[in-house]
Amino acid sequence: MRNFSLKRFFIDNIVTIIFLTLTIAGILIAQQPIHILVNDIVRRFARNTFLVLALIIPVLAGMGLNFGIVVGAMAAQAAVIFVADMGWNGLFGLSMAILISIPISIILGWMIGKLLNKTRGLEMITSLLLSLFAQGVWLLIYLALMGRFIPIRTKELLIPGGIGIRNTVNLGDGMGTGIKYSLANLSQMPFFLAMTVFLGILSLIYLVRYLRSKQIKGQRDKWLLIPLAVSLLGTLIMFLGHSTMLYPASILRLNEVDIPMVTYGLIILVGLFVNWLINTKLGQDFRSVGQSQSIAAVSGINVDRTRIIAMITSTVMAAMGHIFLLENLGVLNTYGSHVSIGLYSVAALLVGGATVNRATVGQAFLGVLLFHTLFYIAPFAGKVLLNDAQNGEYFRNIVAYGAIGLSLVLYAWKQANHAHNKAMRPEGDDAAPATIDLSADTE
Amino acid sequence: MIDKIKSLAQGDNLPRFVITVFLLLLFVIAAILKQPIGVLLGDSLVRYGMNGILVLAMVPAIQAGTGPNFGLPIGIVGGLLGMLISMEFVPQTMFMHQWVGLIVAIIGAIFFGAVFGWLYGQLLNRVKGSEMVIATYTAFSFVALMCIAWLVLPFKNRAMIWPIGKGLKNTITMENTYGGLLNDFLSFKLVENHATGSHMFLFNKTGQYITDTYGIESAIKFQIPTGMILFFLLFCYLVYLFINSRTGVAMRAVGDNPKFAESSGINVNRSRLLGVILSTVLGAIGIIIYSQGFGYMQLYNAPQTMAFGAVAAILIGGASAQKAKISHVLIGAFLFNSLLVVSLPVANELVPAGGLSDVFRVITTYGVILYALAKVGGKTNA
Repeated sequence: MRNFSLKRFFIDNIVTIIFLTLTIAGILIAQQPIHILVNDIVRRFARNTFLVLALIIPVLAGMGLNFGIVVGAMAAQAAVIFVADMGWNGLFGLSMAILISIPISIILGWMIGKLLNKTRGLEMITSLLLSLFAQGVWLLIYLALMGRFIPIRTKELLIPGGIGIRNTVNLGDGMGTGIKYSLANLSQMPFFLAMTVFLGILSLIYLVRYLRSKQIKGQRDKWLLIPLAVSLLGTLIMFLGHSTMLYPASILRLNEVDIPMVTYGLIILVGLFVNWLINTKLGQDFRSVGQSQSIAAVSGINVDRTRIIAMITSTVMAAMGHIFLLENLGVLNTYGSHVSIGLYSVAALLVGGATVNRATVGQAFLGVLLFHTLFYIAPFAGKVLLNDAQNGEYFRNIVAYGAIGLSLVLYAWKQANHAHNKAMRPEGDDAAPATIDLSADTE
Repeated sequence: MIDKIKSLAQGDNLPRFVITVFLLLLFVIAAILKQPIGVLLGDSLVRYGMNGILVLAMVPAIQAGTGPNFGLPIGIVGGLLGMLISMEFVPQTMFMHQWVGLIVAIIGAIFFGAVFGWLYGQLLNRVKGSEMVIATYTAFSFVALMCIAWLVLPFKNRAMIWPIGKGLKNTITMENTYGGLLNDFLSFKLVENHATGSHMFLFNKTGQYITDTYGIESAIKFQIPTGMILFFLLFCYLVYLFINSRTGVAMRAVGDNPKFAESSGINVNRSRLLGVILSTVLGAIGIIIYSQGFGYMQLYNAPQTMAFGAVAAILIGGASAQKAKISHVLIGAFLFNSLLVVSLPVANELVPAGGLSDVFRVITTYGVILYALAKVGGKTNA
């Protein structure tokens, strides 16, 4: 192990550290009851994590932060509106929405990939502008063509007058009609029990890994004892919360928070899937293309094709993620739901410590947690600080845009310095920056 | 000869060709639908003058090699600050208060534009190669940050702040200051009175004067906002003088080939900085002209997406992400703004319900920029 440098750690994780500080300060200033805070974060995490995970593959393939997931979200909305129009309910409706969104998002992802292959080196600004362009096409189809050239059976979906889809589409009451909560309602557990289950499983995984480490390396890996101990301790703390009345009343109220177990199980599965994909042959190809397209091409990888596959994967995942978001939200904002997706997902991933060319599942989880906590708390903190409730939206915008702007600037700055140093000292130390493994909680 | 005609529809010129054809088509449809062509042409000219300087702001940035200035909102915020200061401190009782107000606003805009531009240029010099996306997000963050500033800045003028609560209004009317000043200066207006059906030709008269004299049922059938167009052309000429000066030529050399420029003794960073500052200052002045033509200042989130329209306009004029000339500004600003003006009534006539005109704007704006990006990326293959 290389010697650990605090300064290096600080510089490499400056965005995460800033946002961690802001989040903690926000929580302290806002003084929200903890169970309300946790309840909101639980729901936001369930909604947004899948979408953030969709960003990882393009980052590895060197295509930067894919603002094009907005287009994937549009595929999802097209499917969800179709399902709502057909009047399909519950899990069947949800599965149909996913099935329908897949071919649409594959085609769209292929098109985005083609475009990004033409704009090499400018992928991020292209995907950003593409998402804005796609909004125009979306408006054209759903505002002008729906009900006129494209028949809609359910008249309630249409704007009075019969042309264009309404601003908001109701996706059911969460009790069986529509797709709202069809997944969340399958199995819900109170907070402490759910956390006991999750942390218990995590402890088991670390225990198994610790016991198996002897077979692999000949000697037991002592470093695994730390996460094992932490997760065991966590399990105990959560179990005590579930079964006893030891904690203060304000914390015991956390039991009012219901955790949708299936949704969370699904998110963990997707995280594992991304980690698995990264280590397949295809994942290796993504990474080699991301590091250097010319070297990848020389070693026999079809660069353009790999990039298109990365884009299709991301778009399909974004579409599914957006369907689960809508399932959890219960209301579709026809002309707005997809717009903010790109901004918030990218900001969340960057807050977790990812950069333009490096992202892990752990960073996605951490980022969603930090970003959405801050996102929820910012208006309350703003209210306390400026004594005015209407500033909330502005604070949120600052958080989201600031996160992206800061990360991009720091990354480009680092790259420029790196190139400069390299030019100055050809033989200088090219050691890779210390990577901090935040993905431990997913393995 | 045929090759020359062909070249008008190829490469960087393709958007210009497509948009010109589309615009002519729209005019024909508008005529068939019995839309008032004179009004549309007049409005096109007004929008041309309003947006011209914002489009012109792209030229120094592109020529200095930092690409289209997606950070234009930074300059726009500078211009808004200039306007607010002018409105706060220039009393309406002063002699020629309109002109004084405009000049104070422009001086303020130049100051804030230069300061912001210098800072922003320093940033862009440290992130060479990814200017466009960083410019976009720097501008977005800055606009978001300024939203808080608009709430807490200590302006006192009753016309600008919310009567209850605090902070500046979202839109501030410029009716009593210099709103429409340049539009009406030396303007030609053809006024029709609906009641009598008579036509009048007016020179150098304000909209207020028309309503006062000819009553509420009179309408402008055609207009040339001479003052505003002249102001725009003056700035085009000033920029033209600059880019053909010694400094300007050096700046263009940096944009063309930074390595070559550096080896011939030009300070690359300084030239880029100059281009960015100039672009930001022009953006600041541009929003003043825009707002006085529009009649309102728009604060908060309004500046956020203003850069995209300006970028699209210059690209339609025939510029690319690396090459831009004044002629591109003159042509592009006219084509783009006429398109927006004409598409509105045509779209509303064809599709009564729904904001189709906005669809036109969105698709053209971003479609044109994407086309330009695809051409840049096609050339550099990593």
